[in-house]
Amino acid sequence: MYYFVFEQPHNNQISRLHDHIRSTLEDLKIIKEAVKANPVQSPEELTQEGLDKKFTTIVAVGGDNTINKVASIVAQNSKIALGIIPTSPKSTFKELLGIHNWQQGCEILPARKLIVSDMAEIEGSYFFLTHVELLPGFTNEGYSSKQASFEIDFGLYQVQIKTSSLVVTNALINSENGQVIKSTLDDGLIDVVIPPQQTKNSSGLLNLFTNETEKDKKSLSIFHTQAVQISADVSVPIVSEKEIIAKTPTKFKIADLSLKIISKKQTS
Amino acid sequence: MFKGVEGQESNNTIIGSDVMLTGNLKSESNIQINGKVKGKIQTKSDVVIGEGALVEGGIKSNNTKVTGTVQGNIDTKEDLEVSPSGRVLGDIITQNLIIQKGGAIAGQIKMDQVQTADDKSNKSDEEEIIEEVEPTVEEK
Repeated sequence: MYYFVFEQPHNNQISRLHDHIRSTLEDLKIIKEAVKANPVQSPEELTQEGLDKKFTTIVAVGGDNTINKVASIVAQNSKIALGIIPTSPKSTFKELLGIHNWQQGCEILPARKLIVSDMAEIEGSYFFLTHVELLPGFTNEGYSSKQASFEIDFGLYQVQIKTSSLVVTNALINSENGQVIKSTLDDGLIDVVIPPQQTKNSSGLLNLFTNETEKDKKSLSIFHTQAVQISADVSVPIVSEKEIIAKTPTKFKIADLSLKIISKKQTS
Repeated sequence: MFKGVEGQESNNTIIGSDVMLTGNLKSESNIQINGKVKGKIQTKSDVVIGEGALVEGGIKSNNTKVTGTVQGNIDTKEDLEVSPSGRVLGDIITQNLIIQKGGAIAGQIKMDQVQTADDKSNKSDEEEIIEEVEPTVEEK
């Protein structure tokens, strides 16, 4: 039986969606306990409670950020599997795991087919890291296209770039046609992407490859690395699903952990 | 040839036109350079130097296509192609050389057809690039 961690609902629409999901899970007869994040208990704390109760399958229900938070705890125990029910229409798990909506997320749970993914580490915290963005113009009030001069240190080589957005990801996705450019979650590498400079309203990797001109395409950069140190001339927020999780200077690296995820397809 | 780079395959390293890279870039996969690189480039796959790109350092690869400018030596296991806008200021070792009309090379050329690819692969790739592509145009 599974333990479910729901994201904190911020409006009635999400509350109703949670009710639908819970009803579906009850029909599937796989729900043992479901908890909901709230101002007092974070998704991480609730996940730890599930582990303390000896559940071996923890299911995260919510957006990328909630899923990342639950994954960060689950990955620290190699015997535990993570289920994912994405509720965000822009979830990057659609292409990565073939889970196109919450209904599919529910349906694949009983079979418990597992794939393995790398985890990334940022300042001692673990991330499943579908992607995070470094946005000089991001504040809790909004986003502007303000630029910063970044120094990206890959060890053997260094990159200098002035840009309004950097992306660090565990899996690249081209959403223009739904094609996955890179879907290898367990290659031991994280990817640093410098989006095309003329991309407007950058608010996620899903925007990277849309409406590109030839000039845009030539300014796209992609690097693959086990570890990278990123600094800038100003302190730049590192943002995951509109939440600041750290600031530059910071180091990203592949963690000495792996995450078992319930997916449509099983890997060896 | 070069299909991997131009076809934007999964693990390609791409250096954008606004990027300045300093140091030695080593990769297992294809490398596309549209910006500026000060250092050596090494891969077991292909390298494409895009139009307007500048590499100040040597290149060691399986195939290389130069549409921009390379100031350094190129050691390519199979094919080296220099496009009409391509400039190579350095020595070349390659098995096959294609220079399109307008393309230019200033340096010595060694068509390395006697030494087979297998012979080459037995060498330690780790250190080769540092030694073999070290001399630059300025040093000659």
